[in-house]
Amino acid sequence: MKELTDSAILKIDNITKIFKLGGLFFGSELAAVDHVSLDVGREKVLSLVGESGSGKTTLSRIILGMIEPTSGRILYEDLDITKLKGRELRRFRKEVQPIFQNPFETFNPFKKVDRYLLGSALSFEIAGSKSEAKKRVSESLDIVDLSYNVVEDKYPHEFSGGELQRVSIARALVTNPRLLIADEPVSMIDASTRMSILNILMGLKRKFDMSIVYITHDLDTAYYVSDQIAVMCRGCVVECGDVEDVLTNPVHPYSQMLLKCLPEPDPEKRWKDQIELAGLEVKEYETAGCKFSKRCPSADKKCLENRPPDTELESKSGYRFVKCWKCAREGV
Amino acid sequence: MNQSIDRLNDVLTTKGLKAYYLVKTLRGGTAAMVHAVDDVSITVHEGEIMGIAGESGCGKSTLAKALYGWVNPPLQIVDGSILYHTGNETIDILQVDADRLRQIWWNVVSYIPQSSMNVLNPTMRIKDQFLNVIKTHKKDYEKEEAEATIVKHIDELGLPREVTTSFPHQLSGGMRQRVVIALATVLDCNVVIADEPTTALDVIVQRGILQLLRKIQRKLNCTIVTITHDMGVHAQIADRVAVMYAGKIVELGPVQKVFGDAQNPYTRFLISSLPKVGDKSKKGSIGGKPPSLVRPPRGCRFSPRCPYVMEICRTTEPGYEEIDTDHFASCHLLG
Amino acid sequence: MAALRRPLSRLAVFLTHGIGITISVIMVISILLLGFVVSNFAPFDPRRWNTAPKDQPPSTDKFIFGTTSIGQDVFWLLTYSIRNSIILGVVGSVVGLAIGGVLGLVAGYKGGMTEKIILTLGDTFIVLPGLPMLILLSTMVKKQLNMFLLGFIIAALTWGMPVRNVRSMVLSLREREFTHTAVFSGFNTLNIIASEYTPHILPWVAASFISRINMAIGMEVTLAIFGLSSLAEGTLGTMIYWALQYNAMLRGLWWWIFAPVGMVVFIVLGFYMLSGGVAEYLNPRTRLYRIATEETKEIESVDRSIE
Repeated sequence: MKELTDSAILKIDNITKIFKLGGLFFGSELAAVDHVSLDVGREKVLSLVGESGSGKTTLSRIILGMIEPTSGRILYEDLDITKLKGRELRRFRKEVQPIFQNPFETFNPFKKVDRYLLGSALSFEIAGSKSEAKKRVSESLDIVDLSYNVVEDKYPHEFSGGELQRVSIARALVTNPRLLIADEPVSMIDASTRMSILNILMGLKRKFDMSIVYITHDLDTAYYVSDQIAVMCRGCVVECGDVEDVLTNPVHPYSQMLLKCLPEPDPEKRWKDQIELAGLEVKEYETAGCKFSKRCPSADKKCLENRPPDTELESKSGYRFVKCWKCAREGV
Repeated sequence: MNQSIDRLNDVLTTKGLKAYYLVKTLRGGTAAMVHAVDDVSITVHEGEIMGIAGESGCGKSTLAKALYGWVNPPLQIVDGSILYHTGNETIDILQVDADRLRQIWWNVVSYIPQSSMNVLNPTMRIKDQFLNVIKTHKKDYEKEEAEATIVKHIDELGLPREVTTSFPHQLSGGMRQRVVIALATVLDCNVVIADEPTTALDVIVQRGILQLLRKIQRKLNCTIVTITHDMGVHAQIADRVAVMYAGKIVELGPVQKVFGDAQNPYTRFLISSLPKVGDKSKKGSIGGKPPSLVRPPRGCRFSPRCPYVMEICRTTEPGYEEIDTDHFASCHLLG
Repeated sequence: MAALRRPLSRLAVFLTHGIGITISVIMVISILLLGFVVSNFAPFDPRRWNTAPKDQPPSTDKFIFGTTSIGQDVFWLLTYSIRNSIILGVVGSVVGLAIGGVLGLVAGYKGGMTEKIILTLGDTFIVLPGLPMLILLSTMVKKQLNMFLLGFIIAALTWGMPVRNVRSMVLSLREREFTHTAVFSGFNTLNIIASEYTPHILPWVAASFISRINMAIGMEVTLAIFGLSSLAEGTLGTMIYWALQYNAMLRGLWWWIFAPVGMVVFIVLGFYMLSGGVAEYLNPRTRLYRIATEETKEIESVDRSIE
């Protein structure tokens, strides 16, 4: 994929992750992430969107260093994430922080949550003493609209889901990170509190020049929060670009299908036609060609057998790619 | 409380339903009483799709279980009735014994659970599971007749015939969920209760399920009650929507009214906070969190968070009034 | 006093958690009292032969549990033996659990070669035939055999099992999200194991400690019946040995054999029920539920005081 030159804080370069399933002799291989290259722009929010099995969570864990990729590399600023040790690893941990999906799993149910926040401040030498750490933690909590005495000495179960997720974000902010990796941060949060958390995330970009990778299956929140979007299908990025372009005018048949199936919360816009669904279990991972070809209405023999190339499309920002034979042919 | 008179074509009515969880301490005393469903009265019209919306902890899943008659400790029905009108008779599902309940299940009311894997036996072929269900719930069971019913039903719902001879693991997740829906409706029941039928499913699969539910309503003339927090689902398939908050129904009305012109502040905020592709306007959240169902606040339960709150909201509960044809809402600002 | 109220009330909740726990706690306390308090009041060293008339049946005025064929008072001998058996049980349990537990933690968290080495070592000890090894080792050190040494020998043979159990607990905890949160909050390995994992492992450790006491006592009794335990020290096992040597049952001296056997059964039962009760009480799910309902009650009492 074309690079955004040095306005990218994170460069994902041809990352592949293959999981071996089954036993010693008769196992099979599964490419959860299949030759993915992406750039995360500075002070931008990039959404990684896909259904279950698309590889978006695996990719996020590779970025965070929790899983080792089978091949490829990831560059954070000038560091190669896959080869970090010692002081560089500490710098990476300080500057790249995660936010996980389930706030009640993020924290140990037997531990008071402020210990994580204070611990962060002290471990990464943001603060020299407990009182300094408290001050820093208060600032963090302030960003997410919580006060220290509301959080002090409390166990995770004493919070509601929305509150605890905010504590989780505050924890990530203690070290003043440059890049946040947010894995489905609002999927488990009630609809009425969801937007305040998303607004917080968007505010971080503006106020602190942070970049965010937002992973979700929900196209509506992806549209709301992000600047750029990458749509993943079975381990491959099939379309990426500015969120306005990709979601209001999708080019790849899979993106089009996703948007078609989105239940609009507006009774005036009900679905008129029917769609066909796969019947028996579809083995989409093992395709040599395009991952979506078995379900694609416009697929032909070439699509089934050959991996499509990345076609660049015209766009305002110069960042729009599609992985599709049909689009390559027609030069949309 | 004003209510419309039971019309002849109402298929399900609840009156003043109170279903609480009595959490006992280890020594037998009552530690806490969770007012999950607190004085709920709704009527479901024949042949409609009624959506019950609400966020986590509002009591909608408890309401679903109660409607189905599945009431086990610590859940207790403290007050109220749930009446099914089948044309010949009216049954209060809370008053019947276990045997009668088994007859009612599948024949009068059916239940679609959230996850298909909770229902399908991985070691049996689909056809055998259908036969099992028919044998359990139908009085005079004959194998050939049952097999014919199964085939006819599968065809009617547009599912491929190979499904019946397959094992669950051979089917895709979406197909499994559709099989479960077919299983639930095979004996021509009057009412289907679908509890979060599409949660945790991919969006493409979700559309297939929702299509199927609409088809069932048309072809089998079923009444469907869908319980889900996903407002998009209600917008797509519901005819009327009931919105629950802290154990109470705050608004119930035609789907266009609820989405386009909601009367209750909570409903209005809920609808306006939903993000939509193409809409870049800033959305807000309602501050605070839902109240504890153990000690619900006095007066209106939404008053601690409501931006239009008045003195009376904090002391007196608003009445549940019919403000328009078939449109009920509860708020001191109205009337 | 006020500071003690919380832990004391927690203790009270534990003791009344279920009828099983109450009974087992009473049993264990009476065992400990007999063994460590009452035994000090023996008028003479109960192990010594010919300190009492032989073969006397139990009587209410003189010898409550009767006497043995070698002239010992069964009651005082019993209390003394309980003490020894408990010491032996606790030493065997704690030392084995400590070694196995720590190695299991290291194996689970580190993984790789370290894990493989520790597991192979531990598995070897699991597979070693326990009884022959026990017989062999105790015969080798028979001269210096005392309760502590015997305890250590038992620990040496049984440390393999905790390694596997603790390792598997750590493996599953390592996959939990909060481990990752701790790593991203800058906590080091030791900190993570100590502060994150310990509360999860605690129930198993507590229950295992208690049930291992049973196991150690049982191993000693087996050894003793063969006459291979420390015959100089008095344990419940050696009491049974001497009773068998003198054919107590056949000669009608039922009290001599019933007392130690009955006591072993009583101890094993008491500790078994206690370990089950402790495991259930410390089970994370019931623990969190209890913390939650405690708070509900606090909230309610505060609300009530306001109204």
